[in-house]
Amino acid sequence: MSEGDVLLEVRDLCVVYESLDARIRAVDHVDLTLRRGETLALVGESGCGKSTLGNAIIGILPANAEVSGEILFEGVNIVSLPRKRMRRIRWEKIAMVFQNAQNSLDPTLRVGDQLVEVILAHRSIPRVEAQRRVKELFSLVGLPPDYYRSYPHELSGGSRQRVIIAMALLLNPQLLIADEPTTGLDVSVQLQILNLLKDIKQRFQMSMIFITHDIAVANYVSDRMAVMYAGQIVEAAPSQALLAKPLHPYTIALTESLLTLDRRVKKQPIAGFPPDLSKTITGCRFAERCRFAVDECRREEPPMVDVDGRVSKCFFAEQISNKVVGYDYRGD
Amino acid sequence: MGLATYAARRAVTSVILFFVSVSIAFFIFRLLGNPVAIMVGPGLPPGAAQVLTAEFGLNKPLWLQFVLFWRNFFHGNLGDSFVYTGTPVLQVIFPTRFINTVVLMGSGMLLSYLVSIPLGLLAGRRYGSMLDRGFSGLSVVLISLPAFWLALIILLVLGFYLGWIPLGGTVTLNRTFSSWWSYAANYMHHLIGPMISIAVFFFGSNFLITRASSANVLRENFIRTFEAAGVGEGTIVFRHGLRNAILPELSFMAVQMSFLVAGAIFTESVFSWDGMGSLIYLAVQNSDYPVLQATFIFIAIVVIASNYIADILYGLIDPRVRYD
Ligand SMILES: Nc1ncnc2c1ncn2[C@@H]1O[C@H](COP(=O)(O)OP(=O)(O)OP(=O)(O)O)[C@@H](O)[C@H]1O
Ligand SMILES: [Mg+2]
Repeated sequence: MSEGDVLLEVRDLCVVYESLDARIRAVDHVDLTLRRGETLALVGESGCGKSTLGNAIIGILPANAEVSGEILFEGVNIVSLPRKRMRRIRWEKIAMVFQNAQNSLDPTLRVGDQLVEVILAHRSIPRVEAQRRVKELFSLVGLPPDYYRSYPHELSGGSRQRVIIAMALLLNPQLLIADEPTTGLDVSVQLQILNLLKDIKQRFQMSMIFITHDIAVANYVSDRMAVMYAGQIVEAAPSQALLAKPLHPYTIALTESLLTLDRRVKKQPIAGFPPDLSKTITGCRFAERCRFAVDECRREEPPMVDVDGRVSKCFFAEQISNKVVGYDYRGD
Repeated sequence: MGLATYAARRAVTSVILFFVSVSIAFFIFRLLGNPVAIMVGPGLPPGAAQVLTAEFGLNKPLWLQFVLFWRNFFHGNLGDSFVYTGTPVLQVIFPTRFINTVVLMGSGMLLSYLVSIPLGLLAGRRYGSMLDRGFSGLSVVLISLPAFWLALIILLVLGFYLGWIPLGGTVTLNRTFSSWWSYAANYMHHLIGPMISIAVFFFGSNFLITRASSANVLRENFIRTFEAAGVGEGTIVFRHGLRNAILPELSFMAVQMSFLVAGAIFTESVFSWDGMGSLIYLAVQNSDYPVLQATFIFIAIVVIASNYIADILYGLIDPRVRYD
């Protein structure tokens, strides 16, 4: 694909949360490219900064967050855009399904009215027209039209998630950020929601950033994956390739926990804990938990290295690729 | 169970509650001692006490008094006032004093809500801001001030020093009014001082409660969704914030009605407002038990009814409420 197809480009993005006693570097020098029509999955353990990155892109970080770097949306840097102009991009061009979407609706109002409110905040159209649009979207996300008059607590988890997705689509966005949209749902419902997201992405010709800690789910929905660890992207590649041949030890560890899941063995979490993001870290952030780590890893931060058109933030990426280090994780 | 069934059921329990509380009050009033003894004093001949005791029916056995009390209650007879000798209590209260108090309390509370709820919502939204800290501090000060003192300060400043409001009464005495509206204007002018006192008296607690629930509600996930979706700040604070933050405030409103009595007694006394508050003050001073009993019944009705209304409103605003 040519450069003209790029919808979103994140350059050297840093987000630091300031609190009284600490500075938490939640996103640390992240680069990211998203093409039109592409689904990118952001994968990583809890607390690695996935939501922070998503929230930074849509521009709703809390007041204690300090942002630096660039987020280019259609070539325009939206990091320091005036409120007014950002309002015309947010939800009109970039929409988001937030983490814990289950309580993303006002419990005291009918779901339909809440969606109408969002349309009317952006468009000066008659109320009935907005209502028609909401009902249209309800049927598109597979909700019966009479759910319009339901209250959030009357809906099942899956239906509520569909309402939230409909809400994100109200203004025909070009980019949908979905932050853990299936967490907390029944397994069968999870699959339905994933299929719905894939389906509407096609239908609306959108791009999507899909945030998850589950690499199998990521693989199911995405074209490309970016693996995050402790505020950084450590590996990015087309999903199939990444899963078939991870080039970063952390990704290897992630895929192994996936494998054990497939074999119906109790899921084996990666040993150890991610580093404290409020501390300055020297060297590779994964070194403490890495089975390949050598002294150099703890002293110096590895660069992003290109291997066969893919990137990995590991000194041994090439060796892993050539199977000089490590082993075939599939174990067959 | 639907809202209608619930409303009906709650109505029945409210009525029962009313009878129970008034009955308990009946005995408490009798336990306080013999009012005649307090009334008569050492100066009068010994026979006077007996005459009065018989007159008020206090020589009958307690159970009979109790039965008679309820029988009279249903005949619209709450006894005669001791102080306004011979005047039936209901005539002492209705209509003037009753109306004066309802107007004062109603307007005072309304003013309090109109100021404290929007400010509380905004302060909760901007938790820790100058606006928040300023009004929270003010509220704490206001809450710790005695109602009596508060009313006195307002009378002193607005009435005595600035001369903006009359120094007391409900209308200017010895004045003939050319039309009903000049009467109304005069009445309103007199209302300003005590109304502001009541509003200020309740401002602190209303503000702090609204602020706390607003701060909680506006931190919820759905607020972030609406913010991101470009819904305006006004809609967020005054539609979503208000609807959700008003719920705890509603329960408190009902509790507040009992504080209203204290507010009424002090404010009306300071401003010589001819209402039930100043009547209670007078009745307490003179051990006017029939009047106290009648005002107690009135207070019971107000507290029970506002609880009832708060419950129903809660159900109307919050669709999650289940009646079972
Ligand atoms: N408002 C905030 N103030 C301070 N620190 C925060 C704030 N929000 C998040 N953090 C911290 O920033 C880091 C990244 O958080 P983030 O929510 O982006 O992670 P995540 O990858 O989305 O995790 P999860 O899978 O649990 O959602 C965490 O250490 C978190 O504690
Ligand atoms: Mg998250």
